[in-house]
Order: sequence, then C-alpha cells, then structure tokens
Amino acid sequence: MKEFHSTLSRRDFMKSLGVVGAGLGTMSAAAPVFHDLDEVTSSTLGINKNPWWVKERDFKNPTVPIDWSKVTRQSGVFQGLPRPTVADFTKAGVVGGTSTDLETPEMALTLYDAMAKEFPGWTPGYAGMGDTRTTALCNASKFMMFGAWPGNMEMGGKRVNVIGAIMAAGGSPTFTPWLGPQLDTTTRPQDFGAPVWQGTPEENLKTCRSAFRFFGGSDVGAIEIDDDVLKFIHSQIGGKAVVVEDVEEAYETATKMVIPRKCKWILMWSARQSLEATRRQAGITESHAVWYSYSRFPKVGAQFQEFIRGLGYQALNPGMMGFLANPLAALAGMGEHGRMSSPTITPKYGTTNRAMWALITDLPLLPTPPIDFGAYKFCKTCGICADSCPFNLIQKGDPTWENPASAKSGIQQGTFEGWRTNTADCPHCPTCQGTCPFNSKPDSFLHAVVKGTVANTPLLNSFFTNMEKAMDYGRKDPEEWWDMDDFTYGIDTSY
Amino acid sequence: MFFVGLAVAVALTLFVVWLIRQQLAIKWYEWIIGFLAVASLFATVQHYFSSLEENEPTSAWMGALIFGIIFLILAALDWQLIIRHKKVA
Repeated sequence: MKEFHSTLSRRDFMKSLGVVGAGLGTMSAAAPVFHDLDEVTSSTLGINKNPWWVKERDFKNPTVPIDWSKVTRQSGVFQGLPRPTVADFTKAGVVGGTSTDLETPEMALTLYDAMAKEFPGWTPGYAGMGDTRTTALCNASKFMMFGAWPGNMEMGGKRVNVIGAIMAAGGSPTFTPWLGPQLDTTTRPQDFGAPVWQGTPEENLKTCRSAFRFFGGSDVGAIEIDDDVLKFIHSQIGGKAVVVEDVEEAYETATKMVIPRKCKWILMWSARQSLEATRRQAGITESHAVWYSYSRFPKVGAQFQEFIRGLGYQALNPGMMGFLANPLAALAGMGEHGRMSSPTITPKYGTTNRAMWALITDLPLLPTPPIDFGAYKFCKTCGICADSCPFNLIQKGDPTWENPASAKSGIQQGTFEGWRTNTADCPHCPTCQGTCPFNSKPDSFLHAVVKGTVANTPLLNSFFTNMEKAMDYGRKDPEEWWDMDDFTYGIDTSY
Repeated sequence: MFFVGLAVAVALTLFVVWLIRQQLAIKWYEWIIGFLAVASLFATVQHYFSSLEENEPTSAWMGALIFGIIFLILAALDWQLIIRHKKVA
C-alpha cells in the first residue's frame, strides 16, 4: 500500500490561511454590521431583502445633502407641455396624432430621428409608438390608467360614458380617493366590537410588505412624520388644502383634505415595471411598460388602503401629485437620489420601479433609515442617462444646489445638492429609464462584484461606466421583445 | 450551474489525484495561480450563460473573452511552472 503525503507544508498551509483570512476580513469590513438576528430582520435590509452591500445611514441623513431650512411645502401641480392636438401634428406633417402624447410636433420629429438612429429599421407607425402590434399593446395598456374611470366603453350593446356618469352622480374621476374606496365589503373590526389589529411597529411593517407583495407591489419603507418630513407632503392637492388637525378620523370636504395628527407615519411602497419592456420602449410619450404599470398599480394602492382599513386603521392616499416621491423614498431607505432626478435609484431594480408612492397612516410602523449603495456617487461620474436624452433635459455634471434650467418645472432651488431635470419641458419619452446601469439583473456574478465595489469606493466608477457602455448594457431593440419568453407582468420575482 | 459545479469538482478531484500520484511538490504560489485559473474558468462559464439569461449577448461574449483569456494565461503559466519542476526533478 502506498503512503500518501501532503504536498502542502505546514508553513504553506498557514500562508494560504492568511490569504483566505485577509479576503474574509475585507468582506466583513464591507458588509453591514448587525448586533443580533432581530436587528437583521427588523432593519430595512431585512424587510426588503436588500443585497449585502447596501448600508444604512442615520435617520434624515440620505446620501443627497438636504438644507431642511430652505424646504417648504409645495402645491401639487404637474408642470408639463401643453398637449398638442391631432391638428397640430397633422399641420406639422408628423404621424402620431392619435397618441396621448406630450411632445410638441417638433419634439416628436426629434424623437423619431433618435429612435431610428438607435434602432435601425424602427419606424413610428401610424400613431408614433412603433409598429401596429406595439401600438395595439400600448393602447390596450392604457385601460383605466392612473385609476381613472373609462370614458366611452361598450356595455351590453350600448356605448356608455362611464366617467361622465360617475361625475354626474357627484363622484370623482378616479377610484383612488384620499380616504380610500371604503367599500361595503371592507369590514372594520371596531364596527363589530372586535379589537383592531395589534402588532408591534416591526410586525406592522412586515405585514404591510407581505400585503403589498400579495397585491403586486414590491418593497416598503416608513418614515415618522415631523415638521421637516411634512414639507414633502404638498400643501394643496387638486386645489384642496392639505391640513393636519386634532381629529380621530380623516375626512375630506370641498376645500380641504384632513390628516389626523395621530396619522404619524408615511408608508412608502414600490412596484416594479417590466425591465425587458422598459428598455425596449421607443416612440412618443413613454410606452406600454409605463402605461400598464399606471393601469395596474393604482388598484394595488387602493386595495392596500382597504386592507389597512380592514385592520382597523386609516391609510390616506395623497395621490401621485400629492407628495415629492424622491426625497421621501430617500428618507425611507427605498433608494437614493440620482441624476435622473425624479426616479429613485433602488439597489435591486435601479430605476425600473414605476410606483414609488406614499400613504399616510395611523398604523404604527418601524421607521426605516436612508440607505447608501453608492448610487449618488456613481451618478457623479456616470451620466449615461443624460447623454441618452434626445432633448438634453437631464442635468449634466456634478450635483448642484440650483439648476436654473429646471426652474420652470417648479422644483425647489437651494433645497438639496443634487440633479434637477427640467420636467416641465420633458415630453416623457421612454429613453432614459432603460439606460440606468443599476437596472442590471443579478444573474451574472459580475454585477455583485461591481455593485459591491461601487457601494464601498468611487475609485472605479469611471471604469465601470465605460464597461457598461462597452458591454452594451441598457436599451435594446424593441423588435426583440416579441420573441422573448418574458415573465408574467414582465417581472422576474426571483430577486 | 449545478452540473457545471459537478463537472468542475470531478475534474479537480481527478487532477489532485493525478498530482499526488505524480508525487509533485507544488509550490504555494502555484496553488494560488491554479486557484485563480479555476476561478477565471468559473467566471467565464458563469458570466457567459447568466448574461445570455439576462438577454445581454454582447456582455456575454465580451466577458467570456476577458475571463477566458485570463484563464488561459494563468492555466498555461501554472502548467509550465509545474512541468518545469518535473523536468528538474
């Protein structure tokens, strides 16, 4: 029988251990520190299962510097270009007049040129959205967008103007009211002499996460409202004053929407937009990935309001024009402020969340701190989204306290050191959202290496930006989408 | 990836058995170079197939090219170092 001898001496073995030890040491230094398992599950990282490289910061101290003394409450107004008519488009010789577009005819032409250069062979089709099947998908996706009731629709052999009928009955144009739908089928325990749901703030936040995911949402975060945080809830929504009062129940009148002082928490929730469709959108004014998200997510929010009501609590919906999403998302640890300005960059999904929406509630919630995964710093050297904008509206260069070019959009100046897109002139074309490097899926190990490095040092950010371009990440040919075996709703829920 | 891992594990085991039978004295840095070569091979295979899964064909072949070349260089270097031992021995 042969005798086997190790070819590795004790000294060599100890050297190897040293190499492994140094590697483990580096990893542990970069990884988040928890004191016990409860801390893991109760933190934002535990709630949303963020990757290991995401670090938490102090409350009210997101990566984007904020001058709280300058921030004031704003009015909820959507600044945009005047919507052109079919006649405007026809007069300018531009196809696409049937779309719900925001571009001027001149912008439409610029966009068509940009799309045709990016995707050779692409044409605007008869409606400016691409070929006929893409146009069909876009239009079908618009059904009840933003929670709006349909206009004329087929009902039992008749054309009925649904929104007209509802408005005539004294209703509102959407099913997303401030107080929630409050349907007869949504019972409250207190109305039956039963106790309301009792949970710790940690349990309640997890409960909200589970319910949101069931309805179709993704992640959650929470902020305790104080005088500073309230500045990001608009003072007026739809012409009504938004006020805090010492009342038990929230209410709404013809002139005001009332937040009971006991509603001390803002619950932020997100929902994802199809990644593959997002980066294959072309043509005027966003596209099917965006529109279908706006069709689906208002229902998620309304059903969640009903869920909170069923627990015995209140959930108030300020609506998309009732709050500033980017600062609230940053404060709640949902993501970081980045160059695109209005979309929040999230660690798992980049900028492919369509819902980053807020509810105000009296359900006690565990506040979640801001997070840092290097996105704000990365945006300083990246700028891929700004370079992609066909209208040159995304701010370039370093973050600033002011951007005069964005002033007409109503974004406050001097309040934060970041980037401000001129959203008033932005025609909401579908380009920039699909370009963000943080959109990448986690399949290749390389993304974990890059994102883990970016979270810890900005030294290689420029190199990573160049590699992003060289490896052709980002937008893809829209035509490919029809041959893909994409996920249901376009959402890969494995991450 | 399970079958890739299985194949690599079998190949590594056979390689180590072969080394032992050859009674070669592998230097510590040759172990490190060998480990890096195997890691590069893993990186090549993992990145290529997962990038195709991500619908990123350019990234797939570029990454495979970069990590594949690193693997070939390291593997050739390690092989030559070990072979030269044998000749000296």
